[in-house]
Amino acid sequence: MTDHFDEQISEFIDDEMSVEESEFFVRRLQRDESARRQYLRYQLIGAAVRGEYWHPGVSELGRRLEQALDHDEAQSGQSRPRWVHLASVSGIAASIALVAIFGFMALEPDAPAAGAASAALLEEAQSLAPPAGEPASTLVVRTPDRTTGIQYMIHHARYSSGMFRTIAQSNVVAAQEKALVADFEGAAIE
Amino acid sequence: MSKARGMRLGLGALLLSIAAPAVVAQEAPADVRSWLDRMNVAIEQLNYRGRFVHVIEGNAEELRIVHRFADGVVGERISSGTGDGSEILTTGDGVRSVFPSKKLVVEESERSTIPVASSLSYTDELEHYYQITSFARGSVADRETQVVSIRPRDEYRYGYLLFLDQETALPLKIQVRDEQGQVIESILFTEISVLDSIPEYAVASSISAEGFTVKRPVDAGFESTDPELWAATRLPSGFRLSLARQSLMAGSRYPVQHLVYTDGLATVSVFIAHPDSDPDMPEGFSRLGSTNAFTLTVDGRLATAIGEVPGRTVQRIATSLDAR
Repeated sequence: MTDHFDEQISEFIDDEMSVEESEFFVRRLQRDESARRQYLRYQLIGAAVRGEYWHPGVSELGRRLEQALDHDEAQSGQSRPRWVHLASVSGIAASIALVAIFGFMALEPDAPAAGAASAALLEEAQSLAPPAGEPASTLVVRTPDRTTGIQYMIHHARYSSGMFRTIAQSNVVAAQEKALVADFEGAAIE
Repeated sequence: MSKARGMRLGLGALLLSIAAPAVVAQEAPADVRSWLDRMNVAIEQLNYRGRFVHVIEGNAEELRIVHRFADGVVGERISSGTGDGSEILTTGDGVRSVFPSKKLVVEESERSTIPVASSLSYTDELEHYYQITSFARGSVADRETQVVSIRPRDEYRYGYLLFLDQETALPLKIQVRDEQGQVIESILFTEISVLDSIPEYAVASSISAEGFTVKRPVDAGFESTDPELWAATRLPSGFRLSLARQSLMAGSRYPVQHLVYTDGLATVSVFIAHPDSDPDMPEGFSRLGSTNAFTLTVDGRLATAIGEVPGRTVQRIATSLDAR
């Protein structure tokens, strides 16, 4: 990730971009997973430095995405991607912090990174976990090639009692069908 | 054709006739546990097919299940209600998952695996961690059910409300409840038929996987067996190791260490990835319905604890992992 992109993230977070630049930036986040990771890293570090409780549901990106897409919608006359509607309907702002692995909700603090920084981010991410019983979010970003989480669930279910196996496997199947699982590229899973 | 000896429930009738449980005298704990044992055996060893509504986080999805038990081997197909969505097939050889939207098939094989879960028996010890009562009898679509309530005694496990069919002990309704008693996931059968037998083809895939990518274990013959043995050193009370194994996962040529911990009811699996592998599991918390997972890197190894338990439980187990 280049220094230029780092600067862009900073400008975006500080609301120093024009609407057009914001649109371009958001499009890049939509397309580029490594960019999303980098953005998340900034969010986490920034929140940690400020000592804030950072929750994906109130992320700056969510607000800025809404802004940029509102502008885009007004300009083009086209409706928003479905994942944005899903986020709005759910009452929870869009966030890149939550990543689904085939519908598996995840709080993703960082890509594998070096040493202490990674550990600090992990620690921070752990503190950001939603309280027990509270949904992590209803907007989920799906990363197509990720199957490890589902594979773990399947292996786990194999060694659970019948009721729990049914629950775990049903979760896997149902997650593919639910509209709450959205694709970051805009196409909801049918 | 197999003769149905059980029930067939209509959704409308079922929704109208889920009666409030009538309070009756509580059964003795041993009797209640026998209901759980019966349920476990019924789920594994009966032949049945049906439809059920699966609800997580306010979203309902209708799924179908066909379960076959023949010659001591379980065959099962869980699929989307529409029949053209995802499906998971369980056979004696392993589990095959088909995801049409991704044009992907994931095959997990089980070599010399003995299902330990089916031999679970609920003992007195379970009472230390759960309050198990059968306080009522309910009616589900004109079927008499025994309602079994399982309440956790601490914050490391979930609670359950089970409506078990009086005749077969199959759970017609399952509610998973969190520490506050809120329902976080439920399964409700809308139609179920218990049969004398089910043909093998009924549990075969109904989806043409032509052109799909197939991920299956790369059989490296366990050449790179993991020499390190891992264990959780700070388990929530009642959890104990019930299984430790190494297995190959689809798409990988490196074995993963798989530890299974149970408190006699709930189960937590721990997966420790091989240091040379590159699993795509993000660190931190993950959740799907009542299934929680926590992933972190320990000594350069990616470790994940996963189970139908609260997040704090998988976090505690995962953060106490240590190589011996």
